[in-house]
Amino acid sequence: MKDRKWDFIPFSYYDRTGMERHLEQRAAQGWLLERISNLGWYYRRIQPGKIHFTVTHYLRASQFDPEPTEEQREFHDFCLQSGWKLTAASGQMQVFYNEEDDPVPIDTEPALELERIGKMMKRILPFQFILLVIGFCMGGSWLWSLTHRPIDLLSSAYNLATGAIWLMLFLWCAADLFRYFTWRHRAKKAALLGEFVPTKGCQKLLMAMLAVTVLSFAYLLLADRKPGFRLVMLLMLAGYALLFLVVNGVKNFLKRRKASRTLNRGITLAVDVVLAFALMVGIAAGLFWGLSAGVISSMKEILDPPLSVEVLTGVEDSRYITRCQADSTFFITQRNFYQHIPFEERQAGENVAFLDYTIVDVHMSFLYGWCEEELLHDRDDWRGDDPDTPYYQYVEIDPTPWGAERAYQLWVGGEMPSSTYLICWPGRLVELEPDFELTQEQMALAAEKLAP
Amino acid sequence: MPRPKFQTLTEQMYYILLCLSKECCGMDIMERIPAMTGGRVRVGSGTLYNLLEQFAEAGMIRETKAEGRRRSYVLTDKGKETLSGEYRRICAQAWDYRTVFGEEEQR
Repeated sequence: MKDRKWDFIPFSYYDRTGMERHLEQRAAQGWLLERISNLGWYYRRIQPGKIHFTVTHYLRASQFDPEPTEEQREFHDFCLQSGWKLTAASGQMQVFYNEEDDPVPIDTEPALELERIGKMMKRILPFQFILLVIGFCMGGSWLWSLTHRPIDLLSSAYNLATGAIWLMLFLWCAADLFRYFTWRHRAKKAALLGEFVPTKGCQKLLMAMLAVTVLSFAYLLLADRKPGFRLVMLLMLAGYALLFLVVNGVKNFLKRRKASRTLNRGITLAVDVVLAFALMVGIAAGLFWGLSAGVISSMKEILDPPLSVEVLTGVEDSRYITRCQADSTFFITQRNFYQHIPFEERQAGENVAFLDYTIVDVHMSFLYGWCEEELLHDRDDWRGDDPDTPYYQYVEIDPTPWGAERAYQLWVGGEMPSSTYLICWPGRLVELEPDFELTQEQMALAAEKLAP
Repeated sequence: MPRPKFQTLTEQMYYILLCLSKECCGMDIMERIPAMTGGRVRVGSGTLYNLLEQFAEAGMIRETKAEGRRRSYVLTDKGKETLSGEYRRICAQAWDYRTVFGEEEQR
């Protein structure tokens, strides 16, 4: 039978009540906390029973201390005197347990506890506010893109995964800060009456955030079709894991060697900064290499595009090459095809036809309208002489030649129709951009090849 | 609105200072207070530790000796003044009570 156990329950920093409840439940199951590390909480087997726990903070302690200071030991002695034994400590956080039936709590003056938690949170709140702002900006821009530019956003596994993580980060930061300040407000009032208020953190939301992060990365690794990108992602994750392990290893090694708090903090931070910089350089180099070698680009050459210049014009030319860039998720699949003859293979003054088209398959019907709007207004930022009117505008045309539900033709400067069309079939949108005028027959042929 | 620190004392602060009218170490206070109050007042170890530090910082008590990790303290003049101020406040409260309800009800 196992006599050691580990778990990782992410609690809000101030949520002493949640932590104490969890530890009491573990003790009732026969597990007593014996160590806390950055990787989780470690337990040893005991006789199941009712044990009281107190999670408190000793503000002068540091995670870089080689061992508890004399003052900290004196505090532990005080607690021991009233039956509270130290079971684990991590930095400022000190966890005590007491096996008596009705022990005197470690904290009996609510105003002091409030003051202590306030001081502890003062160091954490700036970081949490920074995360909140980052989460708001990134998550907000992700939401804006969802309604305004859904195609690029939802067809890319990377955008989908990172967007979900940013949104969860924002939600957790906002909820956690709200919970903390609500608790603080209530605790202040209660402290005047000499009463304690139990804390209530956002443990479930934090768990959800971690789950979304892990699932997003897993989805990203599984869904992304670019093998080189997958390799870069894996290396990046391995790099972060290595950074975490090395920094923790250095800190713990220096603690074992009884290095002073200042020395330990200085060396650990230096190692952290240097390794983080090296990691960033490594990631940038990896991406640069991947992009220049073409292994993390989703662009590839294909031989059998759905529609080609040859099919439309009937002119065969072996110099044509077609590049395809595809991205897909369970929301949207986007494929862009570009057929051309490379410049170096063209003869001077030779006039050759090019073909560029994008096929957007919308797998969830509620997104269709947003995608259509994006394609209709994609060029709205271009302005001509009239600053109030977009230079390029789609005008609805008869969809019959395309056999589609709706069709649009792009007009230039409000007076000249171009050869660019947006065709809307059920579940599929196609933006067709040949550099030559299409006849009715060519339209029918294109529709036959491109319709779903 | 939070009250200014130590302008009025809570019951726990009052008894800690009262215990320190004679030199004693922190851990002894934890036993003396329940004995003094018949178990009515109990001071948590964390609260006692923090209050001793804050009283010392405020100059209301001073450290007299340290035997290993056992530090002893005694009340200073400022501490005595605060304590007697609190005593007068409690007496005034008791007086007001008697004024309202009379001596009879007190018995």
